[in-house]
Amino acid sequence: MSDAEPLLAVENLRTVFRTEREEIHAVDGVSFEIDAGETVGLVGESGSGKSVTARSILGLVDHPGSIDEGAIRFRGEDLTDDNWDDHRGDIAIVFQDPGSALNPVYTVGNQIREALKIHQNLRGREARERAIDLLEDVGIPDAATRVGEYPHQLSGGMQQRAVIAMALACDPDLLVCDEPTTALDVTIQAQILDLLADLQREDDLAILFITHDMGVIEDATDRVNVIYAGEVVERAPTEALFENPQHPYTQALLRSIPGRTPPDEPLPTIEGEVPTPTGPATDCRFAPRCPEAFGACREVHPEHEPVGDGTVERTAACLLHDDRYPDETGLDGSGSDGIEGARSDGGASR
Amino acid sequence: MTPDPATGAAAGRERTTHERRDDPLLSVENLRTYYDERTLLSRSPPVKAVDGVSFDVFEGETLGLVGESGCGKTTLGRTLLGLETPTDGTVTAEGLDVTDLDGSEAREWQERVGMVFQDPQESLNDRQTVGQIVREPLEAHGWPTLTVAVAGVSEATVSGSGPVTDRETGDAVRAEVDAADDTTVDITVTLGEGEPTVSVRDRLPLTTDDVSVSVSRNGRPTVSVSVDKTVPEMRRDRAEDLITRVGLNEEHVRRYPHQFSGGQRQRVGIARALALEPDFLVLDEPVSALDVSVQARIINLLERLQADFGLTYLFIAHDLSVVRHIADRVAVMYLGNVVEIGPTEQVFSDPAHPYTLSLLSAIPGSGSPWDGDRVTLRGTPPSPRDPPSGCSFATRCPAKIRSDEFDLPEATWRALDELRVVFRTRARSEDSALDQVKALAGLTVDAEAIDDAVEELLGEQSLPADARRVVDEAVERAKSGDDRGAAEGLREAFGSRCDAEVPTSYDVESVESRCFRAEDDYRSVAETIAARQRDGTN
Repeated sequence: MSDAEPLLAVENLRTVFRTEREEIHAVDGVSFEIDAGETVGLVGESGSGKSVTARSILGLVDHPGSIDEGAIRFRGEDLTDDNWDDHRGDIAIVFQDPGSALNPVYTVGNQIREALKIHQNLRGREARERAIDLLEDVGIPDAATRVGEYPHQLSGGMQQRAVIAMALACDPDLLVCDEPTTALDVTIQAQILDLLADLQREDDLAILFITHDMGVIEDATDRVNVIYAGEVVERAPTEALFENPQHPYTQALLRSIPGRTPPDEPLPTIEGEVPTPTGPATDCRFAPRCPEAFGACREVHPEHEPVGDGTVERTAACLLHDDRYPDETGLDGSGSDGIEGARSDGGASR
Repeated sequence: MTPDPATGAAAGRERTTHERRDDPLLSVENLRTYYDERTLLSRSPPVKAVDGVSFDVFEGETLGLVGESGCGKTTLGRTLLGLETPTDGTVTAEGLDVTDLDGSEAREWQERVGMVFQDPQESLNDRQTVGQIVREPLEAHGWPTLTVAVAGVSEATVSGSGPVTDRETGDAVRAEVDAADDTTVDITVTLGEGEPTVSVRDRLPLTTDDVSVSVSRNGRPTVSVSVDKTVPEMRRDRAEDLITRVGLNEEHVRRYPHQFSGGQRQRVGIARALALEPDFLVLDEPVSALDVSVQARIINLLERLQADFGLTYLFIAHDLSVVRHIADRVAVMYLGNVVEIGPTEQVFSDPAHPYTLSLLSAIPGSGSPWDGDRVTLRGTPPSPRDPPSGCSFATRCPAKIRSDEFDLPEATWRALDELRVVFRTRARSEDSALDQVKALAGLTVDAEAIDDAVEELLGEQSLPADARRVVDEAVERAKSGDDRGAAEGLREAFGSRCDAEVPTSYDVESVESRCFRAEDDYRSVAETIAARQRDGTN
């Protein structure tokens, strides 16, 4: 990272949702930085707090959620001091669900033109042509026809492309992409990743890339933050992370991707579900699913410690990397026998 | 196969008796499914979603089906199950064209097949409990219809009575007939010297205690079978059994889908698909909406269920790594055609078709088996309303055969291809009624736009004089409003065999590929692409 001020600095962000029954710490002390022209990945499973982080950055956290703590500095200015409106055009977001990002009663072209009008002051024929260009850029065939169609006339994949076109219409400095290519085909995904990379080169665009797809993270990002149950558990330059993951969660996540396991073997899995963080963290939230957990893991909240051989800046929040807790024997050497294991003998019929 | 009128039981289900792998379970011949939505205001040609597909699905295998969205994968899967009516062609299972069934035959086919959908959130009714969702197919098909076989004697008369609670049919449990060889027998009564012995098929929620048998042996033996378990009880037990088999708990039965995670919902979808003991499942992107760790568990579940029940899968996915893991063979679809099909490892390690190679090279991260530079396909597939005349992939092909008439650098060839796509796209948009009106009013011919496109594409290319002449002619035609003619002119001058002929299926080792480069006279696909990439023209 450069010494200059980062474009975006998220510092110890806590976003909490309070209902009558419980308090959900969806984002629980997340910190990371993004420099201009850089792509930073945020990777994790659903329920890990990725999307809430994105919405927090955009100031889109609605009741009953609120940002309890921390700062989101854009060019040094803390957005949590209610400064979002000053930066509306600077940060754009591409949502996971295109259906909710598009207004069903306006044509796709209409919605892109609206963004062009607000952010680039383009109108009329000029706006229409720019809208068609943007749709073509995101790989929509026959863009001139599609520009006049309603969202429901487009397939899910096409809708998502239209959303990306809309986000690009305001010419942002930071693009927050929340699972932007999840609904797309690999060839189109490759085009979109190329497109994002081109935009980045041309406009020095910074991208926060949120996804559960490790392959996309590997291709598209410079640095990665692995998030689990509201907390960043490992951060590293992308290449280093894939070469040698240090946190047991990252390791398990990478193992469960098909392609690393021979086809005739079952895929390694992580048993159990991502827990819902209902209070401040007092222990390691991954410990109940962790094959390497030991006694202290259930009592001590792990802090980020430098890991690796010291050639790159990388940290992991795991007691295995904390010298104060020498490796003890696991809590449960056999590992928990989850649903999968318990059922595996259930099919001896016929 | 003829259904037995006495039992209405399917004379299919031979997986227990014949386990021959080389028997196709399904044979698809020249299948075409078109969607024709022509209206008064639009004279658009039909969407050719599936356009002449032939392949076999073998018993017990997983056939992966990959391709981009809109290539016809889902339509193909739905057509195989009889959920769409094909325009042409056949899908044969045990000598019967399953696309042309009616009444009881259609019902039997529906019981033998199932489908798991991509989005478990959308495909499950949120007002039904999980138990109700899984029981629904049982109720819709009047399950169970029990078949009784009598062993130990040469002939027997069978009569049956069961709990009659189904108000609609009144006789949900029927019990008759000696079973033919290829019928699934639910209850077997063996007559010997002493008391008859009874056995019940494993997968039924019945024990021998639930079945009482009485035999009268005056001459031809008469066996009366009655089942002392009510139909609702059997359905409830069956649903619970399925729910536990897919890795949920009995306590989940009374919960609603919204109380579950995505992975759990997909398990419910799988349990529902298995309710009627199908042989064949179409899995339409079953793990695409799930997280990797959840995805891994569902994939393991599907593989285990396949081994347990001898299921055959058509696994539709756009995630090639998943297909590589789960599929025995893989079919690659492009614009309604299967362009390559073969054993998964062969297709992944040595793709024969340039589209397959492009797809593999686009896999993000280290999952790609292609070690060269990524082949980024330009644009999107052509409209399935108006597929190209020759090879469907020719408009985007990175290994397209070039015409001998001109000797041009690869970049120029590509620019010319692109220009033709521009004219074709413009021509297609003229099909809508509104554009017709605009054309009459002289509004669509936008000479400036055409010049811009030509300049953008060919501005940096130096064309030989004869080639330049062809381009200029095409541009003139387009400016006079004849975009289709312009595209045609370019095709005639610069097109090759790929634009003129539809490639037939070639055998390349154990793989079938629809690409002319399989012929000996041509350089192979991989070599061509590598050479063109070396020339810096990709």
